Amino acid sequence: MTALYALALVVFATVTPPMLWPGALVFVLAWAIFPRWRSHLAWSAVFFSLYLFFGSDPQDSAEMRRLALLAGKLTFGLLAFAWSATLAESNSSWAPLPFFTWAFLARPSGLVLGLGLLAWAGWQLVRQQRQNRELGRSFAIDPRGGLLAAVIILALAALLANAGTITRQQQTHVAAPASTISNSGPTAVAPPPSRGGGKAAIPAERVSLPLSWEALAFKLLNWLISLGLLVLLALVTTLWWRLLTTPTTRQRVDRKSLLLVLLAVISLALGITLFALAFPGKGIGLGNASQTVASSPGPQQIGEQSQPTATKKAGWLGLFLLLAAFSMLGLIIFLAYLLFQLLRHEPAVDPEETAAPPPGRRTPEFAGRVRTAYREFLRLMLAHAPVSRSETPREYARRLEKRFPQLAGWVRELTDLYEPVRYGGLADEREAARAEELVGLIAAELEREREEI
Amino acid sequence: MIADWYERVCQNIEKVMVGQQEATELLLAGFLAAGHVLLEDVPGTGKTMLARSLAASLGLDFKRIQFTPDLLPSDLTGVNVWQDGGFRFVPGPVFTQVLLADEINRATPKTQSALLEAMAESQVTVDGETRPLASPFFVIATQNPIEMDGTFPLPEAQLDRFLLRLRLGYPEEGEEVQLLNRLRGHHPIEELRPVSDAAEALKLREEVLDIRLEPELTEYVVRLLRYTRDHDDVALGASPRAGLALQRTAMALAALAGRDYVLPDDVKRAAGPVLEHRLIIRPEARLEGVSAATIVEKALAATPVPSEEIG
Repeated sequence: MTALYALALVVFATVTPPMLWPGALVFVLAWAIFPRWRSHLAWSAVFFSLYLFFGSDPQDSAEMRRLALLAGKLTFGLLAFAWSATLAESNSSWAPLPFFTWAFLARPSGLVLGLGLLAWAGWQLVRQQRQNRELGRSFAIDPRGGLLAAVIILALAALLANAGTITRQQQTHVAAPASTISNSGPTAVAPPPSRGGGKAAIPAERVSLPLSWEALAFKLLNWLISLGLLVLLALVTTLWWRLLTTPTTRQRVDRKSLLLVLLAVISLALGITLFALAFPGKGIGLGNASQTVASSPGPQQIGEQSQPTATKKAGWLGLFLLLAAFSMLGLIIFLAYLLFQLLRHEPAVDPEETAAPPPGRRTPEFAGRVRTAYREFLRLMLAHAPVSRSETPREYARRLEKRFPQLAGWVRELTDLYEPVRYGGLADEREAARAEELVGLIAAELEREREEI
Repeated sequence: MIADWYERVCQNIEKVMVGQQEATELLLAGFLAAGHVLLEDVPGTGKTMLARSLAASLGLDFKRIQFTPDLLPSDLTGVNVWQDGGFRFVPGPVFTQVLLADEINRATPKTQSALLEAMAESQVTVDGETRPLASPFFVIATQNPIEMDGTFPLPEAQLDRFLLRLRLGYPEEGEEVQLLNRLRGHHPIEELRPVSDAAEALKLREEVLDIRLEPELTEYVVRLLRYTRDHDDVALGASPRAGLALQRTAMALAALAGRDYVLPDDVKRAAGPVLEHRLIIRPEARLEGVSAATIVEKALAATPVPSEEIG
């Protein structure tokens, strides 16, 4: 087991640039501290691949605006992926892959294929989790299997990424003479990147692409990025509202303060990103802003473009990066603190949350688990017999019993567990565990039937 | 507690009534919700027998009055008579715990409205003097929807005073055979013994008030009411009093089922008996076959039930 972890570490260090290591550290800490979120964290392994895909290497570039754009794109990419991952989990299907079609269109490089493979690996992990549930095992993915899969996929992705880079570089060199350069002359032609991300170089915005499906897809991608940023703005605003309207209890003051600070940093970063998008050249202290690009080019390309102005003051975006760095540092410290508390077997922040309630105690937390399980059940049934909005849980159960007699017992039991929780208030641990188990059984049965068909 | 009581009373009533479990349950729900019930059906379906067996099972004082066109309000409420040098109040049949107002639509509106004060406030005023009625006070009125000659349809204000309107319907074939066999000789109503008393009934009415009703279910009730008000075919929709009645009946049904919380199913089940008699359908819609029952069904089918959002 130790050898496996060591191997994973060596492979990871080999295939990824050092700039990804702090993020990986955060991921590992989070994995260790929040066991109940591991299934979600498994999906976030794709973060690294996405980072590579969108491409950046600040060591080779002094262009701050590009990093702001990168942050926006990365966020959008993560949101899109979270959405498709949720779809995959609810439908147990290949549903997320079509959502990456736009990525294939925009960048037909090998790395995108790696990304798809990674999505598939995540989906496999979720399936494994369901099977564990069916067998009555605990609610967790076997970390060894997950780690091995992630290592293999990352290695594949790295190999394919290199292949994609070569292909792409060849395409760029061929296409360069035909491109119309606006005002930056030959510097807009992307030379081959030396290292790090951004290996699949995309021409700058000022470079008019040939009228082809690739150019259209590229424009569509930019459009989607802008839309994603607007969605993110709405999301952050909602988070602000929710956080400020949540009653503060004595135990949660510290956590709420921390969240407020983090949210403030994120909001500021988002605001600056939007500003940079809306008013190119203003407040970024780069002077010749028209030479900057609206999407992520290879690092060398931008590095060369912005060399004359690289020594100028970074302005607002410099402040943004500083804040982002501080927030990341704060997050790492916070996670380390939580880990330290866990290792000392002491409750971290909220003793009531971390302490296990006595057996048979009925609490809102267990009720929440039952409701979550029932929601998952409804999502599962979306593809088979979706619930009507005017249907009560009992009516829905009766309808399902007629249509799926083999599920009748489980559905009835789940409904019986859900009703007192939803309309009566509380549940105990046994009920919560049973509800989760029933959803697993129903999912497994549906999956079995689907495979039979 | 309430579920035990319900089982006891039901078993007792079933000695007399055959195949009317649903009507019996709703009737008891109406009683626990401190409302009054209008039984509407053709003659011979057991309306009067159901009322009598309920009163006998609950051990409550029971009086029956046959409404006729010449019935006067004083025949109902009572009257002051001169006796031994002074006026003495002779109470009418309304001074009871369970009052069966048989064929209520045969009396004139003046007499019908004499019941208004009694039903709404559990008191009557005779010659300027207000007298409280017994507690619990439960009115079961019957009317025949077919034979309309010589009848006076109940005014809207009076209909709104009835918590529920129930229809018994004919029993199933097997149940009817069982009924004939059982009643071949003497009628078992004479042998029916009480299985509860007024004190227990009052206590249970209090317990119903403690049944949990999620705020989202209250909003669901309001959305149902508003649907009936906004519908194009409805001249008069459900009033806020109808909402209170729906809420209270759903709570009582939950209690009878042995639950301490209300399900949306309880609201749906109570919707028809609570709302239908309170809606007035536009004449042109009525000609097209639209009924109050249709509107309630549409309301239930169109109003989202508070459950889980899955996005």
